[in-house]
Amino acid sequence: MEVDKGKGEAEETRKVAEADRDTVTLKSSDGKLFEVSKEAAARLSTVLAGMIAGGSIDDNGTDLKQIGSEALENVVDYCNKHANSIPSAALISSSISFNTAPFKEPEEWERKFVDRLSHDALFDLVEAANFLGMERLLDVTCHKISEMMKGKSPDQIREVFNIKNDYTKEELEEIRQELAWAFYDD
Amino acid sequence: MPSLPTSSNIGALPLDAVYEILLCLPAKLLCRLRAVCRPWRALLSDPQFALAHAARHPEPLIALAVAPYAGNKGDGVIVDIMDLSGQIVKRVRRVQRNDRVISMELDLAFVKNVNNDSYKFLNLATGVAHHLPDGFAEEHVAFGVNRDSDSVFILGQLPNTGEYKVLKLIHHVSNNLSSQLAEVCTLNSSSHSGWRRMEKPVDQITSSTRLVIDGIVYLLRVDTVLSITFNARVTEKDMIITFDLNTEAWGPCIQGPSINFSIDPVEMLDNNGIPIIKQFSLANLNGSLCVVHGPAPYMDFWILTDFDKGVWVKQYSMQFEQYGCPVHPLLVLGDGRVLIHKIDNRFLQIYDPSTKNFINSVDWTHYSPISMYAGNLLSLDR
Repeated sequence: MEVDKGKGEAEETRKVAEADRDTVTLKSSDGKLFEVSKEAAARLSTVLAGMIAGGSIDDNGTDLKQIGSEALENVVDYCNKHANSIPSAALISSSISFNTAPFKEPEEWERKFVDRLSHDALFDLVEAANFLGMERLLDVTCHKISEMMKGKSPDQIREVFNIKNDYTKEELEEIRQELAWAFYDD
Repeated sequence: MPSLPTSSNIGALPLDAVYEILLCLPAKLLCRLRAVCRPWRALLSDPQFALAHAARHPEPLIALAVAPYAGNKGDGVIVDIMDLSGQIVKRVRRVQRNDRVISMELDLAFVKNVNNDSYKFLNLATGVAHHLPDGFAEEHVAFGVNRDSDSVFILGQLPNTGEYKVLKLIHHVSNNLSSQLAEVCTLNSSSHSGWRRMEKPVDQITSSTRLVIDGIVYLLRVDTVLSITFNARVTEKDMIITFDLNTEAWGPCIQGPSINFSIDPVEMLDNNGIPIIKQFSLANLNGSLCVVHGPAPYMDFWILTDFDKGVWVKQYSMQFEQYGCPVHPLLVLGDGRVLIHKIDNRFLQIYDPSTKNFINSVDWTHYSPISMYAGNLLSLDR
């Protein structure tokens, strides 16, 4: 018990030291380190907010094994841009519940931010945003992908999303007939 | 979220992200995307997804039936569903040759086949047809009722169960005496019960205007309408007669708004000095009962704000350059502007109460009738 208590005290001290810092260090799957504003990270990512509150942030770089360095760089970049661009209150309220809250169109800078990404980088960023619980970033990236889908056939969509066609020819024909109206061009 | 494993990936992306992406897309494209793969079809057929999609895309949709004279283009389209910019989001094709749309309610079109005189309700999203039972309630058959030619069919949906019911008003003549008889049936696509006899209405009802809100049918007395439209006079009787589709009984009568007529008789004449015929009709305005009346001297839109106390509020009062044609309000938009349908203008119009101006919306040439579409285009009947 005595030993445990000592360790607890040490942890307590480290937490305090950490709380004083206004950035957190994140480590990508390939070992690169990124600094991000603690306030922005906590505000934009439910997962990072939980880690900060729970004290599981590592000073030497919190391991995010699921996220590659390119995606993490984009995440950090987004957080920093966000911190500088918009008053926070509006954004927090817009991202509380993404299924029912009215969807807010991407801001101009958010549009530019996703427009410059390559196809792969965009999809990696969606995964990273999903993993980190960053609902606003997920909204913005998903909105971009949805725009890319307009006017595409099911075949083209499968290619974009790397999805295997698991229907038989007959089933596909059946679906086409059932939903014939949706396949007409107006 | 739908009841699917959320951790799994479909192709390149996690399901959560796919769900979010698909929510952004228009309904028509989504229906096409059911052909991508099984997991996508499962997600896109989920009623929960349909609800979330409707919440994300609250844009009002209008159902416009192709006018019979314009329906000979060979493509079989009988209804187009459009958004307020006039973009067609869905084209609905007929089930049988000689199908003709009589009216549209909720998410259904009431279709008469002019070849065999049969009636059906067609679900505009799924294409499923609900056929009306043939014949009449037994008691009415015994009474000598055998013709539907002047019958009026009024569709409503029960708020609790979502069940559709139809009130039929039969115009029956025997021994030179005409009377109105009432019957109800429940609509069901697989099996249907027959018509059930109801009590007669308390008074003669006009068939020209009626509506249903939350399973309550609202109808107008013939003599009320006649005295207002032709004599510019209000009778003492309660104007509105109700029928409850849930309990299948006539409900209380409702006193209408306290309407006035212009004291200046000249104002009520048209350019040729002929008195302008008044309008007195019912409308469903965003789920509230609305009485449209005018010109008196303006076209007034009264909303019933308190059913129990019978409180009516004159919500809008519109001035038109020319009266003489009926005005039908379709919808109040989020900013308080009103979408209206006036027969002598080929565009639906949006009225702005702050500027008192009208702007043109959808061109409805070659379409009739027109109504708001209250369904979900993603829904599937299976």
